[in-house]
Amino acid sequence: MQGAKFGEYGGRFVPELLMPALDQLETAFRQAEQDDEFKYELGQILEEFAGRPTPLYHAKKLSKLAGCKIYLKREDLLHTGAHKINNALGQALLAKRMGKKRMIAETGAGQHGVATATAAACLGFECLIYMGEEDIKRQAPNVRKMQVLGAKISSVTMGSKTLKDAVNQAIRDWISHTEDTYYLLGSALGPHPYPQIVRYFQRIIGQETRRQILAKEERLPTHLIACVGGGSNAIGLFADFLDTTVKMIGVEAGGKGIETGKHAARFSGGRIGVLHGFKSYVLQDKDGQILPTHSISAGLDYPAIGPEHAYLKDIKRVQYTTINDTEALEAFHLLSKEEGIIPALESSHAIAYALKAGFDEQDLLVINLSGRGDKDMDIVMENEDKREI
Amino acid sequence: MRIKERFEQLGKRKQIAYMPYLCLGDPDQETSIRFARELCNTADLLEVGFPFSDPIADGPTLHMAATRALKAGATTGRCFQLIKEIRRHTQIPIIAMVYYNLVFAQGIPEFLKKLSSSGANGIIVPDLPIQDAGELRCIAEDEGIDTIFIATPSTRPERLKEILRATRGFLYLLASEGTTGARENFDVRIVETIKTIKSISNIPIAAGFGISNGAQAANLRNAGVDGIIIGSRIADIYASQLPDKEKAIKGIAEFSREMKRAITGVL
Repeated sequence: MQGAKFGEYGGRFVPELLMPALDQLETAFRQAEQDDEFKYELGQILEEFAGRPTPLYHAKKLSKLAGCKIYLKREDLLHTGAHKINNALGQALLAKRMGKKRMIAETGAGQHGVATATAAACLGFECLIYMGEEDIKRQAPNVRKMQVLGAKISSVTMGSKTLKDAVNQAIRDWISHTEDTYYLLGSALGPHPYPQIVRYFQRIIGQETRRQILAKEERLPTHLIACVGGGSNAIGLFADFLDTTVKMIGVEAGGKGIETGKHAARFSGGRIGVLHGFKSYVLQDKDGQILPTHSISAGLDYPAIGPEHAYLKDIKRVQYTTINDTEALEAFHLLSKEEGIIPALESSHAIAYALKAGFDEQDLLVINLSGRGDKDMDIVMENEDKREI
Repeated sequence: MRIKERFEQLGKRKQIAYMPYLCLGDPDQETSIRFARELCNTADLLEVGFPFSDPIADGPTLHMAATRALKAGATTGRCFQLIKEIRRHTQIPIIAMVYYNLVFAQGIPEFLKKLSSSGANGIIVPDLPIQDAGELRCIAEDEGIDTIFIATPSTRPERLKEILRATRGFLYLLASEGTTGARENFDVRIVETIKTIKSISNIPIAAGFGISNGAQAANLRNAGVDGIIIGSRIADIYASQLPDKEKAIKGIAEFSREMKRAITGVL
């Protein structure tokens, strides 16, 4: 199977029942990639409906604090408030092309769910979102949004009741309905061809960034920084720079600290395994049972990392590190007060790293501001109260 | 005894195989052994599942069975012990159904060696496609373990041929679209699929997923399958009786007798 793996990572580790559907998806995707009309329609909807291109913003005060020039790629300014919409619209157009009538998706933080519900409403699909019961509790505003957009939400009560369990349910639903249903996977993971599809739709982030930074600074950045949950915003930023010498850093969720076991740091705490159809670094016990994860940001709270990231780490093209809950929260408050931008807690991990790492005056950083933090206000307030006590 | 032998034996008697499935360690180690021993009274082959935290090919019934087993402390090591214990009391072939990450975590050679030592005869890895099963198949062959693959009525003809070439022991044919789980209706394409398979290969066909009563089993027998696999229905029966273990055992015993009657048919 060509291109099914990134080095030894990726693949299609799924029940036989899903093979025809995945073959069909791959064929449709390959055709769409070559179709100028599809690309035009995609460009139109990203511009006129989603609000692309997003600005590349020189954050002067943040730069001063970090000691080097920092630009923020403003995916938070997109319709629905995060980069997820790029992929949701792209795959929805693909689903329309394939003649599917029903769309399903998994969601953790709710951003992908909202993006999918938005794309479904815009393009005319029946929509069902699987969300863990625990996540429904902690991301209530997103839940309400999905409902208002016309999507149905199925609360997942099995397992740990978070993102990985929502993925299980979505896969099961798809297994039973492959003819009429499109499974809109939200990140750069899953069985082949999903990681490639998601990268394709997210790489507009890096494509724009490259043009914009050259126009403003007449040189490429020295470093790109992005938070990594499944890995879609990171690969979106990195993909168009892989052929350069630009350094790249992916920031995983350190949660309450690696030593506590309450985190989502797949590289530090995990080993190679197979989950949800792909081979990559997975947080698992010695038997191979998948472990529960923790991060203050629901969007980073997933036990496996996208396969392309595992490969990029192996070949040392990208460096991966962690930032914990406390550091992320501090960065959240700092960006809000210093730049007037409330970042998503996920993106706050990337900001925190930029401040922590000690860059040189000559360095030129681009940080992916993957989403805005409106959805996180309750969680932040909760943690405020804890601090006061 | 080897799987091939068993099917040959049954074939001579013009019988098809009753193949119940049990999730190891559900609701606890001890009760699991008792369930298995009861099933071995009527089973022609026994399928046993290693509980996994994220069983995507399973519906709610078997997912809950796995969750109960894990809560009760099931580990890969304990599953091998259970198989050893079951093997002490029966000659019938035992087939392990296990998700790939549990095999991968031990290392394929290590897992298969332990599986072989425990007395199992076959392995089904529902999320491992044939194109990635090279190492598993090779080593399993050396260890005397049959690697059984799955096909469905929607599997494309070319791929079906490949799967038939790869599978050992028998072909696992999905009786319905979807995940495991007792249900009323079947995929009507299955009759055609069985005909196609029989025209290409002599390997026994065992149908599974969704079979819950005698009538369904009889229909499948008439369509030409060589074995019937039943998992969720059995789990539903014993789960509904727990914590009364005696009632649970009685329930699955009765069901097994009923299925055996339906499968062997009226001659």
